[in-house]
Amino acid sequence: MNNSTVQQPRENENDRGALMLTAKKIFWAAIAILFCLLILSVILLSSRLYEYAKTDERVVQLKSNMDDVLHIFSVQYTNASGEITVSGADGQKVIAPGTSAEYTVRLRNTDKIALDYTLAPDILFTSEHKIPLLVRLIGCDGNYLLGDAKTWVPVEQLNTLTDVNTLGRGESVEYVFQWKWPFESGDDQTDTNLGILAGTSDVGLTITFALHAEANTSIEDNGGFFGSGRFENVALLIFILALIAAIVILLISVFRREQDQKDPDSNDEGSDDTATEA
Amino acid sequence: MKKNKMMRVASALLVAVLLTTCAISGTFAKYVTTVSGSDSARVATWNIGYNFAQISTFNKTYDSTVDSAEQVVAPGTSDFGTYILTGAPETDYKVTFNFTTQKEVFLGAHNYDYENEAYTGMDLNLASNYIPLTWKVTLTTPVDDADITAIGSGSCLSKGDGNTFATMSAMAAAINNTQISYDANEAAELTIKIEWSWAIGGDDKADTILGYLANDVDATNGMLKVDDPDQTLVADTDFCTNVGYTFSMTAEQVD
Repeated sequence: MNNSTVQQPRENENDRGALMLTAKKIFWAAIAILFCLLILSVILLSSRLYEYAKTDERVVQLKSNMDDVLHIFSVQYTNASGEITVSGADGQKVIAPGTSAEYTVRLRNTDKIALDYTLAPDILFTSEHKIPLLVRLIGCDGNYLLGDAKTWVPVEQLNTLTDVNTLGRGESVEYVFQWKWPFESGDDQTDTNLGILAGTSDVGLTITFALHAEANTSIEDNGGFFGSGRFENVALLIFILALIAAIVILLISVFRREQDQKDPDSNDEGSDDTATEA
Repeated sequence: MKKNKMMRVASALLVAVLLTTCAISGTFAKYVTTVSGSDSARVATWNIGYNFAQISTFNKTYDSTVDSAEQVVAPGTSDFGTYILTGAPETDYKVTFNFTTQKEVFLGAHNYDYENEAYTGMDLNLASNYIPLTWKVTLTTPVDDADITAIGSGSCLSKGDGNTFATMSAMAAAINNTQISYDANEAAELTIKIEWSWAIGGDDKADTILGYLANDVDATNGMLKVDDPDQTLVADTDFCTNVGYTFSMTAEQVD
C-alpha cells in the first residue's frame, strides 16, 4: 500500500477548491462593480437630462462690453477733436458720411464641454436704397476675414461670410468689426440724396451676428481623455470599466465551467468545494 | 441553473450600463444653441430747404412815381430780395454764399460838356466813377456771432442790418467771404435780405446823363462832348445803365 498516491488527489482537490473560491470572489466582485457602474451611469444620465430639460441658459454667449446688446452704431459721433459732428434726433442711432466705429464681438463658452460654432454676420437694408458703408472683419486668430489692413469692402459682403471654429470649455474669443461711411466717397450727390430721403422715409440698415453652436464631444477638443470636469470622459470611463467587468465575468464563467467539467460532482457557487477521497 | 441565472443578471447589468453611457453621450451631441445679436441705424437726415421768398428785387413801378414797361431803377427808388434757408440736419454743417455781380449802374469818370450852350449849367466833371445805387444786407439767424466767420482775409457779414455798402462789388466781396457754422440738429432759420436804393439828390447831373444814356446812347453822345478830344461813350466801359446779380447759398456737411 502506497500512502503518497492517496495524498496527491487530496492536495489537487484542495488547490482546485481554493481557485474556485477565488474565482467566486472575483465573480461576485465583478458583479458588484457592474452594479455600481450602472448606478453611477444612471446618476450621470439623470444629471445630463436635467440640464438638458432646463431652459436655454445660453451656454455660448454673444457679448460685447459685458452685455448682450450689440452697440455697432451710435446716436452721436465725434471728430478727431472730440467735438460732436453727428447726432441723431430723439436719441435714435444714425449713420452719416464721415462716421465710423469699431465693435468687438466676444464669444464665451460657459459650458463644461467644447462647442463647435458657426458665426454668420448678416446685413439687411431697410429700403431699396443701399448705403455705401465699407467694412472689415478681423477673426479670432487676428487675421482679416473681410478686407485687409489697407482695403475696405462693401458692407454687402457680410452676407457672404461664415466662420467655423471650436470654442473650448470656458474659452473666449473676439472678432473685431470695423465700419465706416467715407466722408469723401466721391459721390456727394448719392450721399445727399440718402440724407434727403431719410427725412421722409426709413432709410437704414441692420447688421446681425448670428451664432450657432453644437456640443463637441471629441476627446482632443475637450482637454484629452483626462480632461477634468468632463462628464463625457466619465461616461467613457464607466463604459470601459463595464466592459472590463463583463470580460472578467465571462472569463471566470469559462474557468468555472472547465472546472465543473473536470469534476462533475462539484456543484455551482453554492456547493461545498472540499475534495472527497476516491 | 443558478449559474445561468447569475450570468443572465450579469449580462443584463452590462447591457444597462452600456445603454446609459451611450445615452449620456447622446445628450451632449444634441445640445445645440443659437443666439444672435443685431443693431440698426438709419441715415442721418439732411433736410436743408430753400425759400427765396422775394427774389424780384427790381420792379416796373415804385410807389406810383416810376412806371415802366420793364423792371427799372431810378433816383428815389428802392427795393429788396429775401433769401431763406431752412432745416435742421443731424450733422454739423456750414452755409456759404455766392454773390455774383452781373451789372452795376455807373457813370465813368469823364468831363461831360453839353454841346448846347443852354445846358452849360448841367456840365459835369467826374473825378471818379459815379455809382448811384447803395446796398444793405440784413442777416438773421439764431447762431452766435462767433459762428459767423470770414473765410479769408477781409470783412464778412455780421448779424443784423448793419451791413451797408457803397457798391455792389463791395457787398459781393463781404457776402462771399462769409461762412456760418451750425451744430447738428441746430435749425438754420437763416434769412438774407439784400436791399438797394438810389437816393434822390445824390448827383443830379450824373443821374440826368444816366437817364439820357438809358434812353438813347447815340443821341446822348451827340449831346455831349466827353473830354477833349471828344470821346464816344461806350456801354459797360464808360457807363452802365443796368443792374443785376445772381445769388446762391450752399449748405454743406462738416466733418
